[in-house]
Amino acid sequence: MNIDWGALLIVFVAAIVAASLIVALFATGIKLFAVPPRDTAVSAGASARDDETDDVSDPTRPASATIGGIVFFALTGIGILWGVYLIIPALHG
Amino acid sequence: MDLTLIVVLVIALALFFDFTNGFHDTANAMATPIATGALKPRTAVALAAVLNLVGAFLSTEVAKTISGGIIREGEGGVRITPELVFAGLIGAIVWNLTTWYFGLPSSSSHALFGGLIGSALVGVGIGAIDFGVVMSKVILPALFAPAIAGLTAFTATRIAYAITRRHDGLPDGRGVFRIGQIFSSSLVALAHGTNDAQKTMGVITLTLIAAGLQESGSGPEFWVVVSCAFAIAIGTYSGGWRIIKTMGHGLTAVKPAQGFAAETSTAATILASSHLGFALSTTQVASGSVIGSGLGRRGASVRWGTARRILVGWLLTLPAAALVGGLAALLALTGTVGIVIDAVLGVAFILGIFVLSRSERVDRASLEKEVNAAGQAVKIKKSKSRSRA
Repeated sequence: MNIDWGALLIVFVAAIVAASLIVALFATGIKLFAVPPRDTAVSAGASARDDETDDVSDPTRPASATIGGIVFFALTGIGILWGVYLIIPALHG
Repeated sequence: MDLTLIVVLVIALALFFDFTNGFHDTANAMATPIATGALKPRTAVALAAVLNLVGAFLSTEVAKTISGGIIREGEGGVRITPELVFAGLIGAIVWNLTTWYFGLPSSSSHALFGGLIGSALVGVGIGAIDFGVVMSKVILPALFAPAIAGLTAFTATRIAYAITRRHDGLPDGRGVFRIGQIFSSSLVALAHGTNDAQKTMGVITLTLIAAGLQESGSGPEFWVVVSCAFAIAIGTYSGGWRIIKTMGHGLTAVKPAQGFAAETSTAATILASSHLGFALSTTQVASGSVIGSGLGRRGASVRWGTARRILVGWLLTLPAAALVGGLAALLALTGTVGIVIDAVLGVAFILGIFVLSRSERVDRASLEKEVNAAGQAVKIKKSKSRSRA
């Protein structure tokens, strides 16, 4: 029986870092899209919400937040494409 | 024994095993997006099927050995005859269908290893098995896979909620995680396709080589690649709804943020392990991720009873498949009649379990109803508590 504990540790670290990074990027994108406090949207009758599943679409969001959000979503996309690259053997030999 | 008859039987069984493999593993990628409503059940299984099909063509690097070193095969070692492979496949298929009937996610590769171990024990003897490899390639990874994936998913879920949390009670947009889920679950499905169809291609190719129908050391024939790819894709599309139900609803109530975190963790763990030479079971990784994401969300609870049932299933996989594989080998080694009896019993078992499963059907329609009901219950509860506050 030979267990490569070093390799196992690397697997663990790589998995936790990669997954955390991608989730953090995507969550940041969501956070930026949810930026404005949006009192207006709420007073317009959108009070009863399910905060787990609600979509955010607000016309008063500042442009910087929108652009930032898009950048973070794009970074998540790169992360996922990197995953595809790792899956397809022809791409990395 | 006519060599070609047994070869044909092995190929047929291997393709059916491939089918059950896809069928069993749809849940790994698609249980969580179905549970959160990110994908409609039919769309989800269709997407998974296409990605499995594509994945099977992307990577056709076939294993050098059928058992991955668990059985001392190859130069100077044990010769695994088509009869033994046949018996091993029966063990693997019987166990795969049994766990499917009980809605338990369990590793198809472990079932195949178990079946082969059983048939080799009967056909060759205890010396055929390398127990060190069994320990380091099957038993220990079965402990590490859910642990690593669970911790990863726990951390990722915590991060997802921490970043998107807001304290003014306004919508935080966590529903957008559903869009992310489509991509993260697709990644898992693609990774699955590049891994699992290869196993069957390997079994068929090595059997053809053993039968002298193919040159030693050559890659899989094109028809082998095509048929394996379609077998796993059709299996995936058929959707093992029972297992999808367990993974998506039975372990914990999955929310979009959790689902995204769980799928990303599954993909990351599988990719990291396959690139660093530590092949972990997709099923065990995915189950661990779902549990981890359930622990990571405040207010979520994990149904440990279900988790325990799954764990018992994992513990039984190797010995149970080995037992069936061994019994099948006892019959198969008596000659043609034994093989025919094996095949008839196997088909009878397959038909029997399908008939049995019809009495308490779990399918796309019943699952959709459940998802909608759960969604509504959650919404009603939430809006009430909010209006009171």
